Amino acid sequence: MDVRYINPFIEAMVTVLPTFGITDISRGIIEIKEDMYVNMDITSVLGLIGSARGNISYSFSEDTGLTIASAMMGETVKEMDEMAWSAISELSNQLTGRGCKILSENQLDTDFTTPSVIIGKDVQLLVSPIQTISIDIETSVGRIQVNIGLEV
Amino acid sequence: MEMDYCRPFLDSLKKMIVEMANIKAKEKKSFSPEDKVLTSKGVTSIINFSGKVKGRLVLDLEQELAAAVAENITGKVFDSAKDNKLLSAIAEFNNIVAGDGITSLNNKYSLGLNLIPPVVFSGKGAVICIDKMPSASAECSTQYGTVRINVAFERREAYLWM
Repeated sequence: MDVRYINPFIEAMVTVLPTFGITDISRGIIEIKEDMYVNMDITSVLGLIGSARGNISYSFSEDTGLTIASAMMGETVKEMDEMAWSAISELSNQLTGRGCKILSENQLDTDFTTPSVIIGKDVQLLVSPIQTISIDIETSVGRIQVNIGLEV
Repeated sequence: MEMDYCRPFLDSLKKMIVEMANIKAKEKKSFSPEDKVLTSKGVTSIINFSGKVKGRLVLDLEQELAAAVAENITGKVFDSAKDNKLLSAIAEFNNIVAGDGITSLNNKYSLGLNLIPPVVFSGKGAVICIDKMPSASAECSTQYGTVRINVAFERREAYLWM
């Protein structure tokens, strides 16, 4: 997969997460997978279309999801209720929007769809049947796994 | 919510489940507005599409029905609803249903819709939360269980004045 489509989304994490007080952002393990399986508690998935076509997902443990929701809402969020998943949805919207803006600045116009947030323990999720880059982003609130599967 | 945009997907589902899996589906519940949160029946596939409008199709199958559809498509028997090949078969089934549905819509309304590859998951009781887009659900029954079809559309602001 073309690295020009990966770096903007990593850059977006570094730019957007600190606006919610999430710090110590570093890149962890990067893997290439033949298809994109995720088995974490919370996953937000968005479709990408334009110069590239596919899906991007952001996955978290429940603890990390709640901490992020609390940071975004400015109050302690104790359960994954509508307020919490709306916050996760909005974060993934902003991360992907920022990534797509950087792509557009590089003449790679790409649009994105509304997020779908999937919540559940013991969920086997196939995010894309095509080759996928999986990137662990370590942060002050825990690990965020980003999976990008694009046909370019 | 444009209910006229929903019907082609239900028609495609009923047609394709017979053609691809040799299973008859009978409409059990007509389209009605859906909540922001859907609780999965067992195996759920989400496919987004985009053109002059953006939208999303969700097919949500009970596990036994998902297994029957996947087995009839692939010719293999599956022990678990979490089998990767079962999930891939359901994703492909959703891709074909959505493809047929958007072709009808494009022909009728010139929406220029294109599909984005599907997402599929297995996990009974898992919830799908979708903000920002109103949606409607209908339900069909088969000999193996029920399938819910959920369709959402979001009109792009840039096109509202056109």
